[in-house]
Parts: sequence; structure tokens; C-alpha cells
Amino acid sequence: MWKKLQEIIVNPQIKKDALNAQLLKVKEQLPTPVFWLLGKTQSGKTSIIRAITGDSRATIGDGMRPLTRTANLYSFPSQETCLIKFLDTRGLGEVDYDPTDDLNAFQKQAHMLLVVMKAMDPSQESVVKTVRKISKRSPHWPVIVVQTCLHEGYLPVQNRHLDPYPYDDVPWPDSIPPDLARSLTWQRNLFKGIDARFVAVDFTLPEDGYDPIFYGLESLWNTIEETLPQGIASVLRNAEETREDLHDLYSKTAHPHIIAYSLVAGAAGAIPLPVADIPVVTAIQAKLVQSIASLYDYPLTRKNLGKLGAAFGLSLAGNIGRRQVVKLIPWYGSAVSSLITAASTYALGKAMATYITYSRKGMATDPKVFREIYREEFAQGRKILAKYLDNLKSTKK
Amino acid sequence: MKATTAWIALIILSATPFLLLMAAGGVWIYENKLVLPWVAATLLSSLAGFGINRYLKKKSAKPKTLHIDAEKTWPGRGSEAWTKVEALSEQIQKQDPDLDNASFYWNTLKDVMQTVALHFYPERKDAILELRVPYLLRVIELLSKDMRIAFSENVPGSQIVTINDVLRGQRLASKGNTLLKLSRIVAAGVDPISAAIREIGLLATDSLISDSTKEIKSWLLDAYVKKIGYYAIELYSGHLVLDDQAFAESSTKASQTDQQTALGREEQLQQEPLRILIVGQISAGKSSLINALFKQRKAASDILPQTVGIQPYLLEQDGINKAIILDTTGYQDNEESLNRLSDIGKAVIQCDLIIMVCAANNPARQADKKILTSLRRQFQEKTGENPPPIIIALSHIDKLRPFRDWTPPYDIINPTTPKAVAIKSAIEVTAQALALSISQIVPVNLNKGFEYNVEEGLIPTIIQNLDEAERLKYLRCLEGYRKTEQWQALWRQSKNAGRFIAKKGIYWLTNVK
Repeated sequence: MWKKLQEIIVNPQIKKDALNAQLLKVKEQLPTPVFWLLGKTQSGKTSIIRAITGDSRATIGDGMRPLTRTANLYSFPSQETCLIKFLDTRGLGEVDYDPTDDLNAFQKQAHMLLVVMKAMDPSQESVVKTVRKISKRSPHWPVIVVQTCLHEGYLPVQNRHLDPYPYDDVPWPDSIPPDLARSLTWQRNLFKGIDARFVAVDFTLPEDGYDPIFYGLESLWNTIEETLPQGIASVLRNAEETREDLHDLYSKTAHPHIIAYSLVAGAAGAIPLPVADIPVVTAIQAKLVQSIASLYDYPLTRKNLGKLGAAFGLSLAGNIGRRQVVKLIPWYGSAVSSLITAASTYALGKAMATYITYSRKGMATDPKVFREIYREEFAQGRKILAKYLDNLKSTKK
Repeated sequence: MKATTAWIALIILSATPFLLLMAAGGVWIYENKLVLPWVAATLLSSLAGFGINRYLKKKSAKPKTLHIDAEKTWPGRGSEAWTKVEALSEQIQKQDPDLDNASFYWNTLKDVMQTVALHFYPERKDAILELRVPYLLRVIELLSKDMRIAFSENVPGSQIVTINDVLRGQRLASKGNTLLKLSRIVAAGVDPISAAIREIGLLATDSLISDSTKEIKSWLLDAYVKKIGYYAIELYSGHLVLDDQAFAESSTKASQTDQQTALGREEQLQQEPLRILIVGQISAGKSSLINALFKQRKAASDILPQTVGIQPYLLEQDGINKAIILDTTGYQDNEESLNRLSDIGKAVIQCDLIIMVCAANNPARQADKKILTSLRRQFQEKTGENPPPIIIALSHIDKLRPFRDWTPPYDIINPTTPKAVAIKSAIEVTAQALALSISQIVPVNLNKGFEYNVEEGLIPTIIQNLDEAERLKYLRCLEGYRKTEQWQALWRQSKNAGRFIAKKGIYWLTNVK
């Protein structure tokens, strides 16, 4: 099987158009939540995308596709395999910008609202008014109000983040600067009558000198998790990484890509036709390998591919055989098979990432070790992806 | 008509008993043959009554004492000269000159001046020729001034009278008694002689509307001659100087009052403080700006919106002299919020300078743009003038990247540090968004204890804009003064000339117009 994968990576034989059509079909089945980021200009919308995606090198511009003259749709982690989308709309209050048309258009595209405001900016009438308009039309949308730039409310004598993060405590401790606390409360009171959740964050750049740079991200994740129905948040969070020692920047960046490919592969594997899906799933996995290689800046030469195959090729082949057997049993089969496909894709991605890291560090690349890693990641993948695929199945029905 | 008939009936009825008595008396006189003695007695008493009547008439025709008197400060020669002026006045009145002849006024002026000059310098026949031109002009100036005051205070509606109105008034004069009197006053007012009207105005209303043209004429002549004499004596006795300060001490009471009024107006202009309107989005730092300008806590500044309505503060600082700072309600980018700002719209009419506070870390400028446009439009609509200069105080520059860097001063023209670069670009972005010039934007830090560029940057910019602001201030004062002046004058006139005439006069004049 590894040979086949290797062949596809080096010499793609499946027609690109056919594959894309197939992928598109698969993606349509995947529910992709669209976060609508709404707020005044310069209130920190882009910082939130940066913090959520965890990709601090990035290059948000890369994933930005101009939707209209005034808004950007940002697919995460990538255009091809996208788990969530951010609708980054033009800031309210810009000179000569009338958002009415945009608001009408976005109302159809989004699923939830992320309202962004600077914690120390009380001038929010226009934002709140817009939120009220939107939630009147879509009353079931979750609304999360993210209060940013907390440092603007810090006292000059104590100009650093409070540790531990105190804004989830009820009531707030006195350590929060009084003016900041009052402003936060005041802003929250503006949303009376709207079922909104509030999170206080401060997402800065490393050179800004605040530690941590993504202050309050954990709290934001918790809030998103509560509001996102598909459990996608927990999948994305990568909270239970098996190999703590590999929790580096590359791994963090690669994680959502691996998840995304796994889910797409899983969805493809759910198509109840034995064997017919193999080229599609293999193509997806090939793409994952390419993608990880590019993220890790690892050239995919024949030599490198040979090394990779030597490291964990066998286990792959074994899995594919098992999946085909399972699929022969209708209904039950497709569900289990899709989970297995997803988990094996996940394990492939993770194992490959680990391999590259190990080999860069000059550590042993013994196939035994990688078989073990693959097994661990496969179990982990089953665990974290099951809930999502379950939801997927139930929403389809 | 019915009332008149009733009156006549009443008179006839009540007179009947006396008429009967008269008839009976006539019969009695006739029957007792006393007709001749009765006729003789009637003739005698009529003659006596005629004599008394003539005496009374002669007496009442005599002019009352004028209010122009010799000044006690004049030397002995001054009082003597005054006697001569009085004699001259009586002589001219007797001549009964033609008032329509312009040369009369000039000749009289010359005669009086000559008389006084000769009195002070009897050895020099050409004394009047020694008179330096500025001094002669000064006399004419004072005459004209008295004339103007008297005219405006005593002729109803004079400040809204045009020459055309006067001519039309004369044509209309035949139409009614009131109009006749009025036109006479108005006509007299436009003659150079009307310095004398002042004196007329001081008389009781009944004298003013006396039927005798001759009387009025003699009053006017008397006043004219005496006024010239008065100023001539002032001049030759050395009391009249060109310096206004000294003049104030030696001038007449009336002139003093007048000068004080003029000085008061001047002072009013100078003392009228500069009015600076401060606008900005909520919590942009308007109150902090006021505190920074005053260097003390005057306005309640807070992180949450505070100021409601317009709060005036009086500022005295070098260079700005005196200014009223008007703190306003903060606005937001929201139609309702912007509509609530009608009070700012009213305040802008009365302001000389607008300072808009914009938070550098909050670049949503739509609301600011809307307010600026609206203020400019309202000012132009209501005053017809160009809107006052606008200065942007770009606050919260400390919150620009890098956040933790606050080490002023920053060279914004040639920025070298990242903070200076950030401030510069914030200025440029703001200027572009609000369509203003970069020179109108002053970056400031208004945080208490960290104030920066208020005294070094903002205040000099205010002063730089003062020239235009001062000009506006002057225009605004004139506008206000013209209004008060008009109403004060109307009030004085109705008091001086009698309410009836004033009312009629104003009514007539306004309707003619």
C-alpha cells in the first residue's frame, strides 16, 4: 500500500479534476461552521483568527480570498480541507462605509457571531445595534463577545497580564484594575436581551512584550467549544497530544491540517462502495503527506519517501485490508470504516510529523518505534474524531 | 355717531337751564334799559383779556434755558466768551435765517469760531486762521457725534431710517398731524443743525410736538450756535486736546458717557473671550484634554462616557489670554447618537475654534467625519461665514505600537523609533479619513501625569489659528452688539420722545420699509 501512496505522491495518476470533484462532494457533507467576525475597525479581529488557528507565522493573507470588496473569507486550515471558516468583515465605523449590503449578504453565509471590541472602547453603539439586527434575523446563532486589548486598561505601574487568568472567576477578583473591570462590565451590559457569552482576551505580537501573547485563548476556546455543536473545537484544540515532547510550533501548525485531511478521508470512506473509495482516500492521504512535508519544509524526494515507507509502510497496508473487510457489512460498516479511515489518516499524518522531527534531531528512526507511534496516534485519532464523525452521521440523517 | 348725538343732547339738556337764565337776563337788561352799560362792560373785559393773552403768548414763546452751560473749569475769559456766544445766538435767532441754505451753517460756524477766537486772542485779527486743521476737524467731529447721539436717541426708529424713508416721510407729512410732526423731527434730524435736537429731546414731549415751527427753529439755532461756541471755547482755552484719554476728562458729560459707551464696546470686544468648542467620540479624552489644558482636574474624566450637555470652562493662559472652553457630550457612530447633538450644533455658531479629540488607537472615524461635515454646514448656513478653524487632538498615542514604549519626545517629522513611525502614520491616516491637512492634527497624550505635547504642541497650534479665530470673534461680537444696540436705542427713543410717537413712528417706518 505504501508503494501505491508513494506512486501517487510522485506521479499522480488519478485525474486531478475527478479527484477535485470527489473532494468537493465530500466537503459538502462536512459541516463547516462559519464564524462571522464583527467589530469596529482595528478592534482585533485578525488577531483572533491568528490566535485561534495557532499559526503565528502565518500568513493570514495566504488563506484570504477576497469575497467582496469589503470582506474576506478565511478558510482554516486551508482552502482545500477546511474545518472552519472565518468571515472577516470590514470594520464598522470606517469613513464612507455603509455596511448594510454586506450585512444582508453575510447573514446567509455565517453560522455564528464573534463580536470583537476593544475592552477600553465604550463607543460600541453601532456594533451592538448591528448585533441586535443580526440576532433578530437569526435568533439561534451563538453570539460570543470577545473583549480585546485588555492591556489598554492596565495601570502603568502594573503593566502586565494577570496570572492566573482571572476573568472566568465569579465574581471577578480585586486584582483586575478597577477601570478595566468597569469598562468590561459596561460593555457586557450593552448586550442586555441578547444571549451572548463574553470572553476577555489580549492577543498581542511577541514584540509587544506581553506574556503570554495569546492571553485568554484557553477561555475563548472553552466558550467556542460550548457553542460549537460538532465538537470540532475539541478536535482542533489539540489539547490531548500524545507526545508532549513534540508539541512544537510545526506540530501545532500541522495539527489542524492533519485533522482536516482525516475528516475528509473519513467522509470519503463513508461512501458505501467497497474498494471504489481506495483511490480517493489514497489521494487524500497523499495530499496530506505533501502538505505536511511542505509545512515542515521537508523535500519529498524519492529517497526521503523511501525512508518514510521503510519506517512505517507495513502497518499501513495491514489497515487497508481490514477496512475493506469491515465495509462489506452495510450501514454499520460505513460508520466504522469512516472512523478507521479518518483515524488511520490521522495516525499517518502524526507519525510522519514525528518522523521528520526525530530525523531532524538526529534521533533513531527505528521502524519499531514508528509502528508504536502509529498505533498510539491511531487510538488517539479514533478517540478525538469519533465524536465529530458521529455528529456528522447524525446530521446527515 | 350715536355717541356724538347723545353727547350733544346731554350738553343741550344740561345747558338749557343756563340758556334760559341767559334769555331771562337779556330780557331783564332790556326791560331795565341797561343795554348800553352791558355792551361797554363786555368791551372793556374783552380788551383786558386780549392784553393778558398777548402777554402770556409773548412769555411762552421765549426759549427755555438751554442745557448747554458754561463750564466751571473755564478760565474767566471763557465765561466772558460764553456771554458773547449767548448774545450771538439771540442775534442769529432774531435774523430768522433760512435753514435750508447750507451756507448758513458754515457761515454761522465761522462767525462763532471767529467771535471766540477774537475773544481769546484780541490782538490777532486772523486768529481763526491760526487754527490748526486737526483741531477744527475735532470740533466738527464732536458736533457730529453729539448730533448722531441726539438723533438716534430722540428720533424714533432712526437706526432703521434711510434717507429715502425721510423723503417719503416728508411727502406723506400732509396726511396726518402725527406724521407731520414726525416728519418734521426726522427732517430736522438729517440737517447738520441736529446737534440741537439733543436739547429738544431733553424737553418734555408736549414741547416737542408744539405747533409752533418758529419755536423749534429758534431752539435749533440756539443749540447750534451754543454748541459751536462751547467747543470753540474748549478749544481756545486749551481744554480740547486731540488725545482721547485727556479729552475724556475735559469733555461734556454727554461726551463722557458716549466715550464710555464706545470704550465699553471696545472693551467688550477685547474682553470677549475666545470660545473653543471641544467635540469628540465618547471617551476619546475630551475631559482629559480640558484637565490637561488647565493643568488641574476641572472636568470629570473617566473611562466611561461622562459629560452630558455642554459644560463651559474659563481658561486664562499666556497667549490665549482668555478662552471659554465648551466641553460637549461625546457621540458615537450611530444615527440616534448623532441626532442628539443639536446642542453642539447651536454651540458651534458661537465658537471661534473647534478642537476635535480623536483616539489614535480607535481609527473608526465615520462618526467624526459626520460631525465635522454637520458642524461646517450648520455654521455656514446660520452665519454665512466660513466655519471656524478645526484642530484635531489625536489622543491615546501612547497606546499605539509598541505598547510598552513611552519615552517622549518623539520626532514625528523624521521618525527614527517605531513609536514615532506609528504616531506619524496615525496622523496621516486620520488626516486622510477626515480630509484635513496634517498640520491640523496634533498628537497628544492626555493621561494624567503623562501629559505630552499639550503645551508644546496643542497650545501653539491653537495660537497659530488665533488670527482667524480672532477675526471670527470680532464678527461674532459685532453681530451681537448690533442687536443689543438696536433694541436699546428703540427703548430709549420711546422713553425720550414719548411712547406714542415712538410706537407710531416705528410702526410707520417699518411699514414703509
